[in-house]
Amino acid sequence: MQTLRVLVVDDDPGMAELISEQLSAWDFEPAAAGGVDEALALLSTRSFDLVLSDLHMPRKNGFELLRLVQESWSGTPVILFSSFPSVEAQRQALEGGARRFLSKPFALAALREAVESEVRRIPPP
Amino acid sequence: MSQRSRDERAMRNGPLVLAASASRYEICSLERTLGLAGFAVRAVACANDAGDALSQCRGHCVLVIDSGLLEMDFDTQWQVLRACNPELGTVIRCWIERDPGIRQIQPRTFVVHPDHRDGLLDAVRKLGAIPVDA
Repeated sequence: MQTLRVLVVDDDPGMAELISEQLSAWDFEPAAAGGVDEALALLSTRSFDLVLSDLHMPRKNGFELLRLVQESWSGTPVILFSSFPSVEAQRQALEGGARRFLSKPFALAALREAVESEVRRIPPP
Repeated sequence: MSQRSRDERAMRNGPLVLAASASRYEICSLERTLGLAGFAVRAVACANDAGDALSQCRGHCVLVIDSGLLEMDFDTQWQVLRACNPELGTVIRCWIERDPGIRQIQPRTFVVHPDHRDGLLDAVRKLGAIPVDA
């Protein structure tokens, strides 16, 4: 079975590493980016099955990444997460096309459930 | 000098600010922003730490906390702390509209956008200026 690639975007290297380690343990193939520009560079060079991104990052935030992914990689689902959740942020994320919006800190079980539910939507090759 | 002595010395200029975030990055950012404005800041890792600080400072504290910590569905420690200490002035960092980026939702609770530095300082000053029995 093909290993699914997940792009993790977070300016906090510790959080990106933690999420990536968990994704590896769940048999996904993670790649980490420290910001939106780095994420776009990775998206331009290889395909990803899912993007997991923090909302609050310096320079460009998760909403901007969401918009750019929708424009150029519209088939790639995006899950946003944030330490600063609000009803407004969740509404903006979902209206912008995000599949999920997670509050950080989240239970690992919640992350796994979110990732696996998105993966189940991916049609078989 | 002990942490308590440092806190008490700094408190002469205003309330002790308790900074709570799951992110070490955000804690550093809060310490820098609030410290440069002259506030004493103590990072608190959990609600028990915050409760201890409140006891030591006789309630003369303002809590600055990420909204995510208050919305954890698997751990209500911060909600319990706020419920047990209704006098505790609280600034909730939350993704609200950038303009105006600050909103007072209760007499002793503000929400501010995480990038709104001036709003954060304004909210902390206002909470520090409000008497505890207000």
